Amino acid sequence: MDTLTQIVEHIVKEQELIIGPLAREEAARVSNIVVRDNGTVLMTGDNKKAAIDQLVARYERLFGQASVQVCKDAAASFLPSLKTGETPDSLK
Amino acid sequence: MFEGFFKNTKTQSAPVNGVLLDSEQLKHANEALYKQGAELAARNKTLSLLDRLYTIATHGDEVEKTAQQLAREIVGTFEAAYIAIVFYDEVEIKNKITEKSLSLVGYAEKQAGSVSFARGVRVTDENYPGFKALRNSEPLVVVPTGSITGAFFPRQNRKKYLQEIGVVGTFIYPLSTERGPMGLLIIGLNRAPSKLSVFERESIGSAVNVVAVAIDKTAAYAKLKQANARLKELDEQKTDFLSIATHQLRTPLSISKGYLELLEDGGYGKPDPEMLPIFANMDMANQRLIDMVDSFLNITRIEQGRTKFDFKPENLVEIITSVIDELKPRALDKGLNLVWNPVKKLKALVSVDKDKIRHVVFNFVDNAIKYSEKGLITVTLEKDDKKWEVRVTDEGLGFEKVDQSRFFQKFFRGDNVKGVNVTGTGIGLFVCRHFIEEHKGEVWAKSAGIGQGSEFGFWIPTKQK
Repeated sequence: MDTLTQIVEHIVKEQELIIGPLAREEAARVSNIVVRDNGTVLMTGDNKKAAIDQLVARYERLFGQASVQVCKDAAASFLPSLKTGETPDSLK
Repeated sequence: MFEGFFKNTKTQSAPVNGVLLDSEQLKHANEALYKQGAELAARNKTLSLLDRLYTIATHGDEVEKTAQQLAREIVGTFEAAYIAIVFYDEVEIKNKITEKSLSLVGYAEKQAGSVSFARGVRVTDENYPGFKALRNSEPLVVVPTGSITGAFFPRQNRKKYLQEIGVVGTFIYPLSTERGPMGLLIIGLNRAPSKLSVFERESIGSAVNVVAVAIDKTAAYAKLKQANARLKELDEQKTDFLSIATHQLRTPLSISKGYLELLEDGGYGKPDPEMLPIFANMDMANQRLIDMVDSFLNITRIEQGRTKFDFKPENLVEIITSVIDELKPRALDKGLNLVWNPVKKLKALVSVDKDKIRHVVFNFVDNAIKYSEKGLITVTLEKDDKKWEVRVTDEGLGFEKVDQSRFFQKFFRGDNVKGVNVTGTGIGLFVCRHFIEEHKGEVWAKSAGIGQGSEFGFWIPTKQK
């Protein structure tokens, strides 16, 4: 699994701890993100970075800045392994 | 997890506590609810981590194994590059000169298996940052981390290790208990320490305490286990020695006894009458030695599991009567009244090892005679549905209640008898207890106090299984 997909999976898991099933529902609404029943994530399409930005934006629209911080915390340990320019703007 | 979030705050209005909120108010309510939910989630994660760490701490019995499990659990929770648990010790290097030493006991990486850590490496250089954290009892953040990791990893692997794991910053937490410093928890991060989440910051602090307690408890348990093993080893050596020594002593003593009896009986010519009491004294002293050696032999057989039991249907009345017949003269010599009134019609047939039961009864009556200066010694035998009970009561020294449970321990001699001129090794009653327990019964000792006499007894089941 590539790092960006791992990041999405981790973000959804962390959001699920706070808002429950809504976390998966919101993720499933983002194009190019598929959340399987067991919680694993499949990313389709080439622009994964943009999909992550969309996902973070969806949570932000509903729950504000605090939810962005949760996304950043969830992704923090994965970011160092991304190449320059690969980091989604929403997680910087 | 929080329920009751509103999914479309831009278009809906909804009642909250009976008040209809507009979309902006709803958004604020949602955000506030989310913040509380996030805090709760962080607390839950911390509690869950602590629960897992406590479980490891409870089950741990080896320092390295426990430290390894703790490290693995923590590295997964914090997504850390690596976790190292380091044990602090003061090692004697030369005539009471000690050296402070840190050794790696637990280690886990996020990506397991990339670099093997050097087991058994000790750090004694007091400039090592870990010693600073211990001295100040305060966490330390170290960037860059070469000096930390390098201390425990072979030089040739260090660069490769840092590259593979990509450690950016390291936290060093001193681990300590009320007894003082006992180690370090080192957390290697692949991100700057400032990037830690609120949950991570809060729970690392709590985890440090649990790790300290877990390592301390496990180290104490390991030390106890080691000491216990050593004691067992020494005890076995003692038993072996005793076994050999007593066997070697028994033969010449038996030979001496034989020659003494021959001398007394005139086997080498009629002895001078003046010599007879001397022979009698020698014989008595020799017999005492034989009895003592026999006691030690009994002990060694018990401890080596070599005692043999020969269970056959025997009459308890006959066994007790034979003891009374043998000891009555000794009681009379001391002016003691030894009373044994068996119920003649009692069918006291039970499957026992006759010699062992006789040994126990003999020991109890013999002790009653030894430790009584006056009065009555009574031996009774009773039966109920399940058991036979033998009691030996006297009006002698008696003992304090505190000694009651200790009489049947090995080498125990009560305070009441220490000043009395009676030889004793503190083995006899221990052997009696073992013999009776092998019959699935129990022994006991009772007294109302010093000078109040005592009762020693045992019961055995009517049917041996």
